[in-house]
Amino acid sequence: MQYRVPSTTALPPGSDSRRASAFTGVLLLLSLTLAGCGTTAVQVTSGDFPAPVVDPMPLQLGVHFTDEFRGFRLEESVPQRGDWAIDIGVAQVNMLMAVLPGMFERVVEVDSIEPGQIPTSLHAVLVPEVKEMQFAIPFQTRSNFFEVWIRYEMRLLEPSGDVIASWPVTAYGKTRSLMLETAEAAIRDAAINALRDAGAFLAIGFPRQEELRPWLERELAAFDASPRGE
Amino acid sequence: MFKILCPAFTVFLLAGCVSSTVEEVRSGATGMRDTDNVVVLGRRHNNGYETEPDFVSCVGNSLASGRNRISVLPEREFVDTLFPWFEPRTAPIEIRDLPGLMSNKLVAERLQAAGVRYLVWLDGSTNTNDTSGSMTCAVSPTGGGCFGFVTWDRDSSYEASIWDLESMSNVGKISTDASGTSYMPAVIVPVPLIARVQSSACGGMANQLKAFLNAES
Repeated sequence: MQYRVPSTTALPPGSDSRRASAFTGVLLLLSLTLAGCGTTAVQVTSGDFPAPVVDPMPLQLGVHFTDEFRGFRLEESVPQRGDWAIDIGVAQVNMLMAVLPGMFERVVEVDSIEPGQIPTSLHAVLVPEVKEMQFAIPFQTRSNFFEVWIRYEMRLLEPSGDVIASWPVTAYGKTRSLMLETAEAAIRDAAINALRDAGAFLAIGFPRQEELRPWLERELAAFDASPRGE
Repeated sequence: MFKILCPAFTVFLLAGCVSSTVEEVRSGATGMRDTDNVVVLGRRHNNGYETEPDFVSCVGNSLASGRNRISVLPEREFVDTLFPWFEPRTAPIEIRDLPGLMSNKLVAERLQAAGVRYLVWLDGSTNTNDTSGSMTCAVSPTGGGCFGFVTWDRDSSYEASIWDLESMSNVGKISTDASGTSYMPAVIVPVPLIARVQSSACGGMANQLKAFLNAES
């Protein structure tokens, strides 16, 4: 039996799969090489925030979340570590909607704070705003920690729309860098810890806030004088 | 028998050596009733380090198992139940902060409902020091392998402060220090000889805590 070599180079059986494996390997290598150039996107969408163990104030509070607050996203470039995008909008709304109902008798979301749009049955409306957010990864700090800082400004408005007071709430969260955990998961945990910290500061600090004292004393005195407060 | 001894002997050979010490200072009487629970909490307010959550859960799990086991509430469940009073920034740091916290009726009620008698605060960390040596690995179409020798030292240092919520006092402190050197020689295949420093510190701390809390003195 004579075996003829075809004019074009024939590949032995199984060579297609080898070629596919080689192609996959090259793609993998390329993707690994380019990984540092992409954007690391961190979606902090959930977060299990407990209700605070505090005495609820006998007040009805509105809370207004701006579109900017609901969709807050920090975008930052870290030299040699690519671009980062951290979305905390959904989680910070979740945090406030877990914490505030524990602090007040009733909490409702208010769609608009335009004059005449705030229900007069409310004692006040809280408008939170993210003034600043920062994060750090172990590469930057030479530590084992991923860290997140958030600075909020809380504005409390009368139903008429006049500002009662505004005060800062600072928050910090960190999480340890673990061998099998991704940077995305570590930043997510650090952000959730920062949001818990903000919630804790708000729940404990609200009644002690110097700027709020005159308003709070007035409203609580009015409640005490009412038939419900007697 | 061979099937049991062989893996055990292999594990023994593959483990690096660890030396550890445990010290106890008692300043009050302790004892556990059937209804008493213990919470083991990690200190996380320091900037440079935090007590590792896996060390805290290791100590808690060790206390809750074996002989003379103690009823332990999980850290996360406890911190959530008492939110926001045991967060890194709000938790009581010193025993003198405790009466102020307990004067909050809601907090006191939650602690009583959970049956918490003792709070065990763990403070410390495990660090890797003095890494030396080098290892090179290569992969080729015909195979691959590593060659070299790496060694590193790990140190664990933890202190537990035990607070009695009934007497509102610090009833004692237990400290544990452990250190060990791990090795990884590699001739084609790396063979890690890991010194389980944190695990040793956890075991030492848990055993001492168990004896400390169960002592009727």
